[in-house]
Amino acid sequence: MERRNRIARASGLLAAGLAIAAVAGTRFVSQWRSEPLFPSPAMTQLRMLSEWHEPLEGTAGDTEVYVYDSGTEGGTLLVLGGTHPNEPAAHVAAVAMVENLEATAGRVLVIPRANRAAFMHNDSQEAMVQRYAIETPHGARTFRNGSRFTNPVRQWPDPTIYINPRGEHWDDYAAEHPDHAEWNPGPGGQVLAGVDSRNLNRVYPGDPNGTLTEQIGHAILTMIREENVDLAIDFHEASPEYPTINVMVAHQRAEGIATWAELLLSDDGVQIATDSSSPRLRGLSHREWGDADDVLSVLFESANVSQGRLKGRTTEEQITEGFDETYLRAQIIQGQLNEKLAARAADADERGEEAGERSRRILYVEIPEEGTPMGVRAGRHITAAQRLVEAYNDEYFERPIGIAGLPEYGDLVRYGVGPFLHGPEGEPPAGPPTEDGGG
Amino acid sequence: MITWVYLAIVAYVLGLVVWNLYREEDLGFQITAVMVAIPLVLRVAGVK
Repeated sequence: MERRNRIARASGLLAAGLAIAAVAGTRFVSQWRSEPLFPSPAMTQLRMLSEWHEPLEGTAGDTEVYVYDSGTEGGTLLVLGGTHPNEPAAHVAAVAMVENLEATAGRVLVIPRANRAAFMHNDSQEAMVQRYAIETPHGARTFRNGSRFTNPVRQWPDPTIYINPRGEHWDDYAAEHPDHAEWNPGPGGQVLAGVDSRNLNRVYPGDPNGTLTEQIGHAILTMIREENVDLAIDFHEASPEYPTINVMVAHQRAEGIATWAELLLSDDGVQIATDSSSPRLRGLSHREWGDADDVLSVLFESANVSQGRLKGRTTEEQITEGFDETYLRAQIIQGQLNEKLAARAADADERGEEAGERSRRILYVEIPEEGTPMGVRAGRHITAAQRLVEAYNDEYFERPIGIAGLPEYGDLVRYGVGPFLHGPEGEPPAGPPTEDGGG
Repeated sequence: MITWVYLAIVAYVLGLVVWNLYREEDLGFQITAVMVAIPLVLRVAGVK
């Protein structure tokens, strides 16, 4: 081939390649933009996380902190959503709080995108959808479906193993900040997979001089301390095969109010268990917040099929409706397996032999045939937060926290979360439908 | 620092791929070179 033709063809192919890269790049970059939220009129201040750790300013880790100050004396509640952006109901529940909340005593701080840098991409090779839509009476609102981990473009490389921070950097930090010298951020030293260096809920108490994720963790803990937060809640979701599911994981000082909230929730028809935060598992919010400060720290988990390993093809409906046929099949297989194991054990018992395994759990939550929609999952978080605040007020009445304006669990189950969100152009939430069909 | 070293290596490999694209006479290999170049471009641009 003539040299001139070869060069012309190569140039044409290169131009086509660059065009493809531009289209793909535009789609990737579109994930960096945060969709607008519409706080309720009761919001008194919009702050940024970097106010508690200046080096975060202008980075992908800086995020909005919505403040609701009742103007009356009382305690302070912190609510976190979006620690793991692949757990959508945890984010949507925090958004619904931002858009409906009113503080009637004390203050409430809500961070709906706790790890904003993890909203900026999603897990490669997982065929995850980039966005999902929630229908409101005014039209569809779209939300980012992100990753469990900080975007590697913003924090790289991962170590081979990650050891949760605590050590000389804390001593250095205390030397530079004598007013923080009494902080006790826990022993650290948890050995984790390298990728967990980008997992916000494994890096607490964080590190003021560490990686982006560690600095986010440090900023959140600094905020908890400097704002005298009394009760802190971290919203999460988990896959159905994960044992810690539909639970409140409570630091030991918060176990009393969590158990009381569990009883209150049973009146709402919400079955949720209280689990103890293990002092041997370091780096998690419920453990490190409570150890480093006198805050009562609790983490909520709801069931999310879209992040499980057994799921079929990932779709928007899987996220919003919580339905996945593969999980239904897994539930049937679990039932068949347990019938066989029980029969085998009964035979062994008859023969007077060692029975061995009598049952096996593949799933730690019942998979309803109709799915577990967003309204149910976000409703569990919102309602559990309300009941936990009630339980807190019973015990810590000298520093009361008052929250109002949030949707009822029954309405969230019946109508979904859409009527309780603003419209795409900021139209106010329509609320549950009335008998004449209006909102 | 290590990120800059990494990006320099990626940019160097991208340069070699583009150089190969212009030297190659076989259309299939030229298309392959472009396919290899796309993720490298996104990586050098800090997008993906």
